Amino acid sequence: MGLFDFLPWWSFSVPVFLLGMLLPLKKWKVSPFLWGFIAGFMAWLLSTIYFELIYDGEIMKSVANVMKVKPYLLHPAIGLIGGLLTGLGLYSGYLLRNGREILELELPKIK
Amino acid sequence: MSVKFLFPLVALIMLLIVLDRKVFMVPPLGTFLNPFIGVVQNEHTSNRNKKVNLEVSQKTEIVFDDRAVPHIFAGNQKDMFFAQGYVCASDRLWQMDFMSYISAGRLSEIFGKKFYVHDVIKRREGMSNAALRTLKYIENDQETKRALDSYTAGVNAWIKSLSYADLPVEYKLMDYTPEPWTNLKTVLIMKYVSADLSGYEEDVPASFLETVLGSEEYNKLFPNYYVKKRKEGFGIQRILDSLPVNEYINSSFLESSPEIPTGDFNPNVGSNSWVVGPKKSKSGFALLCSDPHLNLSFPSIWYELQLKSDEQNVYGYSIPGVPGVIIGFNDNISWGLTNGSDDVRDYYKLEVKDNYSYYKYDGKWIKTDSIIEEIKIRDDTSFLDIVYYSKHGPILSDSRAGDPELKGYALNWTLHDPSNEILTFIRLNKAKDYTQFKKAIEYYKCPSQNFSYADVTGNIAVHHQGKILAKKWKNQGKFIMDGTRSDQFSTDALPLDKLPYTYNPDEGYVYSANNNPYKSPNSPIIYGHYKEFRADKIDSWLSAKEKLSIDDMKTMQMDNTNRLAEVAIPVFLQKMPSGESKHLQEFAHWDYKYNKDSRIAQLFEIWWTKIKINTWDELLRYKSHKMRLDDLVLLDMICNDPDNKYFDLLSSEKTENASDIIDISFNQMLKDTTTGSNWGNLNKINIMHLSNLKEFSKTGIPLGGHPQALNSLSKKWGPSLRMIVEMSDKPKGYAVYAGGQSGNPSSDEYDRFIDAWENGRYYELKFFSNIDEGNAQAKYKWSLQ
Repeated sequence: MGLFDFLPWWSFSVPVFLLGMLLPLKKWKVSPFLWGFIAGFMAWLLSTIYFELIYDGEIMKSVANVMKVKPYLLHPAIGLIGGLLTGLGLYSGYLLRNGREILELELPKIK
Repeated sequence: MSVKFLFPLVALIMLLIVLDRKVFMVPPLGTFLNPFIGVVQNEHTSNRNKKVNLEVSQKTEIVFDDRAVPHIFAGNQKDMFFAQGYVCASDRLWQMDFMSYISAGRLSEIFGKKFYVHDVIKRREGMSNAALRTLKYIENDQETKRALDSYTAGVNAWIKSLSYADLPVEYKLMDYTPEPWTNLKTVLIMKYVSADLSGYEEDVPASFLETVLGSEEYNKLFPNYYVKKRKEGFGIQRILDSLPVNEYINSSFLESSPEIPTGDFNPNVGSNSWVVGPKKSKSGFALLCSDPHLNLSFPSIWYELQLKSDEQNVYGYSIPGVPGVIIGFNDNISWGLTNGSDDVRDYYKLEVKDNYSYYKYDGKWIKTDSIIEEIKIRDDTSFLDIVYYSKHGPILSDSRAGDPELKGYALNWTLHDPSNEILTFIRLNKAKDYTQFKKAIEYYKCPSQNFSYADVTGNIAVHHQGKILAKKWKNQGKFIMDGTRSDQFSTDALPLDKLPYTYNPDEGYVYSANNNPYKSPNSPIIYGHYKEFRADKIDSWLSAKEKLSIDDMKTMQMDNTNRLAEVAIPVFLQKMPSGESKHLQEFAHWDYKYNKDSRIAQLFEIWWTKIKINTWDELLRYKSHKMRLDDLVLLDMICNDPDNKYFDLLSSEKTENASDIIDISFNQMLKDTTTGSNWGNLNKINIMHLSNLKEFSKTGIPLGGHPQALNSLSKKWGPSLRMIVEMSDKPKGYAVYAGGQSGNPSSDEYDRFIDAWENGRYYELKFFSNIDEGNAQAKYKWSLQ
């Protein structure tokens, strides 16, 4: 898939981190981790489902069995990985810029 | 600025590190589950038309038909082999790569320490070293080298085009990447197949049993024999060994028990092949049939394709990783293969000193050669193993420090000798007549094979071919030999003109089915793991009918008749007390077919098993020394020596004979719990993925057939391929193999042919004369230029 031929798979964390720094998340009064998490979760999960739909193979279930995971847990796991990576990336970038006020401002909103 | 951002950042980095690693069976999840490059990308299976710029000298077209079989049309041999490497890698890269790892003893590099023992055994068997020496030898031949170089370049062109997203799923699961292909890897695959077919031997248990039973008894149980002509009644003609030259084998010779690894080689792998000449063929054209019985696997050992260049046009079945077609046909000839089943693997007991530095030979101490084998282990330091070599071959046993009696066994195996089997196939692929066929198979050394032959002019033949050591005495090679004496060491192969063959016989047909090809008492004495029932059945089929058609050939290949049952049951019924049971009536009317819905087949299977157990109860005490007790020998004893002491049960006071054993076993059979079952419920076939991953395998397929039937199968082996070719002016092929073209478990093509294979259906093969015919039937097309 194009870009990842040259870049390591985790390189997408860098732009996410930068976005965390640059986007006016504070002004929008949104929780950077939660929004990052949701965005990442949806991106990974929906892309997976999209590829499963457009391709004609059937491998995800066998693969879950190989890894000794219940097949229905595979998709939530994919979402979770995407969510955590993006959430943490966005949050780190955000904190680099707005770190000082974090405790009083953001934490309550994460709930 | 605050350092607080470091907390989530550190958490992120730690998470990335964890997701980038393989943990036990779980591959690195960051890449593996990544929707853009991970496993979901392996669902992508459709192949479309494409044009690729590659280093071919002329435009080369690959046309895929509706079964995803590639038909390669190239301007010359070089481009053709390049395209074969390229297209085969596109379907089977992981398989061919993995087979080369198994063969070289490198599985620890993929799986870590737990495969270390496997790797050590392979190195000590001398596989990787043999492949290196073989490569050096065959690259001296320019024709072979050109083919190998082009094939390798083709495979590498495919590998180069892959990103992580495109890697076969096995690489992602096992977390490694394909290494560049080399000519050595091709040779390793040839050795892998060769080992499977020639690796079985019984030298150690045979030597032991010969010692404890004595020569006379041993020869009764494990005789060398010829099968009598069927006209004379089915039975065996024992060849008695007049000279007991095995006096060196005694308990002191065997004293230190040999530490020889018992291989997992399967004595049952074999095959059928027969050819019907024009006189006996309904259409007037020769018919050639070949069904190799091999270990079944996913992906299949066979990859179907057509290879056309300015020098040849051949269709058939190739082995992934090897250039050319192994079994198939061209415009003029067709050929099939069965295993020669000769014993080409022997042990020599050595006397060694100074920790394997020297071995004694004719009273002199000779220095051993040694090779350092580096076994790389994943996530661990490499292990350096020293393999010592005497002139016989690699020395297998461990050297144990401090042991005053350092005794090793050397393995002599024709597989170790450099030979160019690849050239045989390159030449066969373009052979035009019998002379060229004969010339081509001269290069063939290991494993010994029976090559069957038919051509468009109606000539038929079968040749037993390979490097078979000339015996210095009758039983040479049957037992462990004394490595300290030059008079026990054979190095000379039987000359080519001593190898048995049949050409255009009066009967109008030829066949081979792992039977002893040395038919007359004047033949050179050879020892092997031959099987006779299937060959006898083929002979009875082919002789019975005046004219034979393609449909007859199909019926024969799918024939579930157990030849043993067919011969044995009339004998048993005679020997049974009359009026015993309704089951006897059933047996009397049975057609001896091991169909999957047959209950009576299951009954006979139990009956025969009980007869074997009851007869050979004397040998149970030696059960750690496993040897194949030949069904034919037992049947011969029942018919011709019914008062033999082996029929007497140890557990009873009475003296039993063969009739008693048949009767006792019959009653035991009636009490067996599985009597109500159908044969198919017990005869389940497993086709395992090469890595043994259950998810990519097909297990528990209930099938008809039996090792002693022409449809010869059991557990995890069977007719890997069934091919029939009619040698009309334009040869016509019909075939099916157990698998599918694609190695991608996600693809429909992965197991596409299994259903047809199970049910005895065949595909008509599309053997195109030219690219236009190909284009007309193309499902999709690749152009290399």
